[in-house]
Amino acid sequence: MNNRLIAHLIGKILMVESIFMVPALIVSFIYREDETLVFLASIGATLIVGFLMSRIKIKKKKLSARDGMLIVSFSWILISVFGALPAYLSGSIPHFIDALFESISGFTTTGSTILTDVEVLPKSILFWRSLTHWFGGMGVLVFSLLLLPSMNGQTLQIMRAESPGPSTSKLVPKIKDIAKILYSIYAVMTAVVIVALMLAGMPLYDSIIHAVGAAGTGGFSCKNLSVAYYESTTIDVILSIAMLAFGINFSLYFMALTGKWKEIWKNEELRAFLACVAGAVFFITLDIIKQTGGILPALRYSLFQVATIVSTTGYATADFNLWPTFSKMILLALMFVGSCAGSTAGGLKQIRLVIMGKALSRSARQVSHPRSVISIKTEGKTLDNNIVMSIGIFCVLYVILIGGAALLVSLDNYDIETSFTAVLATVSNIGPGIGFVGPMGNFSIFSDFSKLVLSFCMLAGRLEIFPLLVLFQRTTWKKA
Amino acid sequence: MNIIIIGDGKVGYTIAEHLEKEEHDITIIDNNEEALKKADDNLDVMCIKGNGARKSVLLEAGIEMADILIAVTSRDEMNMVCCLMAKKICDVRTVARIRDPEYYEEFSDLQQNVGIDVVINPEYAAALEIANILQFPSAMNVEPFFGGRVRMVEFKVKKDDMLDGLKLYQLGGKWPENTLVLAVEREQKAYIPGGDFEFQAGDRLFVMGHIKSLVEMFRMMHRYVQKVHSVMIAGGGRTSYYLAKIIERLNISVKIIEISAKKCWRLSEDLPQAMIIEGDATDRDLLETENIDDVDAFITMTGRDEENLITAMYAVDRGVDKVIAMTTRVNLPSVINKLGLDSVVSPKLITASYIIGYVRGMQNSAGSIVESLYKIMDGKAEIISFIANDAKRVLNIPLRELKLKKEVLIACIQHGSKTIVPHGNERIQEGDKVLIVTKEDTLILSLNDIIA
Repeated sequence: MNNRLIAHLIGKILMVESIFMVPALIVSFIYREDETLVFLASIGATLIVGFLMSRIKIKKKKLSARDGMLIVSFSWILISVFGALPAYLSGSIPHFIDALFESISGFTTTGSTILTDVEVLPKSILFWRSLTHWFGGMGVLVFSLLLLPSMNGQTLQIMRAESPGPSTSKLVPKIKDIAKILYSIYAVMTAVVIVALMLAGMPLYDSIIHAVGAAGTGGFSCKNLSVAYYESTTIDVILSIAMLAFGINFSLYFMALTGKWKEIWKNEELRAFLACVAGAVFFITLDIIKQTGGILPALRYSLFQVATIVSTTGYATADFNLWPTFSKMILLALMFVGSCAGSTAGGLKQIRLVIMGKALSRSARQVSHPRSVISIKTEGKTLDNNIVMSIGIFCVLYVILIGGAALLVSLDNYDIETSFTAVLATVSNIGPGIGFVGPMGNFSIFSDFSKLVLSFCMLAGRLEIFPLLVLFQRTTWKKA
Repeated sequence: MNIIIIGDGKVGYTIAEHLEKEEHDITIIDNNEEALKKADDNLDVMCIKGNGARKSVLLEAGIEMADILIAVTSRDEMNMVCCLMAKKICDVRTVARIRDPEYYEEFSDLQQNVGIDVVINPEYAAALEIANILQFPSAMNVEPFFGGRVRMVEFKVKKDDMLDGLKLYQLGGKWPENTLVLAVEREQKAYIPGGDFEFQAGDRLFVMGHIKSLVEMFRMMHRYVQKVHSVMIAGGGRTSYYLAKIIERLNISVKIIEISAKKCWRLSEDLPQAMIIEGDATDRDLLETENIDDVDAFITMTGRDEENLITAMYAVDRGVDKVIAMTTRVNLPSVINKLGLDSVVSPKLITASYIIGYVRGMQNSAGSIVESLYKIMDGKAEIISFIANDAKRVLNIPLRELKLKKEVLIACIQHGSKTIVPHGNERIQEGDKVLIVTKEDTLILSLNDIIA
């Protein structure tokens, strides 16, 4: 274990975080809010701690896979702690655990909130809260890669641990170039959404908040009613499309830029994703048509709700707590699934389920033909059995994590629906669940202990469990 | 540059490892997932699993954008087909490793008809390097520059040597002219010595000079080893065959010990002048009856590293003047040197450094002035050759008056047909070729960069 290098790199990442806060500082300046000082203090604290850590002299440059995991886990924890400073220091969220929960919820693009009334909060604090979605979505460490002078090839370990999905395929040979490409696509798409929302009649400030929330598939809004506040079909449709678009693997956009349309069309994960969305929208529309009194409003609400859940964003235009159980079950299933690997969304990821489905059908066939040899392929390439196995293990871990956390949260003695979906919504980084934590409810009802458990769930879900698991291995803390 | 490497074995990996550090965009193609995983985990490169001879795989690797394709799989035919296919798709430079002597003899056909621009034969290259060392047995390693006009020799300072405890400036009058200490390796660290540098026993010195001056230098240190007249080679593989062919021309008598009867027969057909002995080269009795004590040089080139090293150490123990061992592993030399074996040759490393040198040469034509680059001490220091065009800050100024950067040295100047190992009064003129020595962390991209 290379402690010095780990500390050094985390220090640099904290320095990068202090840069993230600058836009929020500017916002507080524009609106002449008292929070300017708070942001200056937060930026200063983050910068100083980061600077001191980055002053640690490095002895060896070698970074093992485990070191990469530790860097990811620790920097996410520290980033969240420092990210909680503005809300805590300004008194907007006076209780530190609440502020930390909100900060983690922001960076992990969950969008679960403990605030009952967001509209009373200063604009700069809300702006920072949403901005954390944007950086957390594509990855804080990936962004740091862009700013820091060249680190060696082993930084791939860090990027792997942070970017969602079972495998990071390289688009171009150099990591730095990949980070550049991804963030450029991300920034351009976000800008397009901001402009589209403004054209649909949203004020600039609100458009930025909602666009970055959709881009990171986070879900913090600046209105208590979330997107329902605007009562506009155009805005609903724009955001639905935006959320789905940010749930698609970004390497597909790169392929589109390089003109590889054929490969995009053949992409199995994209097909599964679209089929999933289409099926869910179709059935929910049929199911809620009586409540909404018409096919068009039913389509509008079902599309938005499916998009918000499957992309793990968490905006709301309707309270699906009031929908029929069949619709709720479909949404519950989507909460597990999530979107595509390599996007900003959470959940198990479509590709894992596609591969698991194939593995299941192989096992089924092997029941009747025990000696048959069947290879599992995705995108025309045979998958190594180890990869299939590790995906299976991940799925099981996911379920174990949800079960274990739900057990701990149940100590608060809310109903099963609430306890279970609160955990699922945080692990899958969605935001709202069903029951008390539904789209119109929030997480303030839970005890501090449950909030910490749920915070851990958010981090575990965002980093896909394994990096955090390393923290709990006894061998990690032993020498040699 | 965009570089595609097909074959992720030891050679492919070593090439990728070095070129990655020089900021090239590298794509590696291989069929072996485990080998790719290692490259993927440790290097900033793109890995593609697949058959490099397939058009679709090459297209996926971006052959249309590539500047150079390097085929170093274990099979000659595969390497040829890769290059052939690449040339059919687009105009890309191709480098292939071809090991079979039968193909290698038709060198020019490969270039014209198969479309391989550069053919490298690791065994032949290793044989050449060993022949180089044999021609200058006083040194641990010898490297010719400017077509052999000057050489760089490597040797170790021994206890109570003339150099032990001496400072560099004190050498002034004592050493032959036209020699220059380029670099010193001490405890795994590289030094470009200044006048105050004090030599110690155990230092490894890299000295450049004309061959006559170098011979005289070794004589002064009482370390001159007579020309090699007889060589014993353990193992009768391809390298042994090439080596025997080369050194026969230098009037050195060759004795090859090979265990397989079949190989012995073939060798005796191909090498009528050499003495071929069927037997186990690790067998001490056999070595003794074949007079290991009387040979000038003993070279171990069997297919197994362990046998090579142990047999070589036995020969050192018996007091053979010059012992050279061949290894297939690329990362061993520094460990082996500690064991007392000075000359270790690795065909894979030679292949890799040859190809790296070629890629750098291509960069030259792409605009930078670096002509070729040669790394010493596992890459801790390097020798770069420049052509002195546009180097206004250094042209026509006596070297003594140039204020060079720290740890930068002008090693040699070639002016027309004359090569000069400089001492201060010389000037660099337009069109001269200049050798510069630096440490790895000093970045020198043009001749102007050497000025502080």
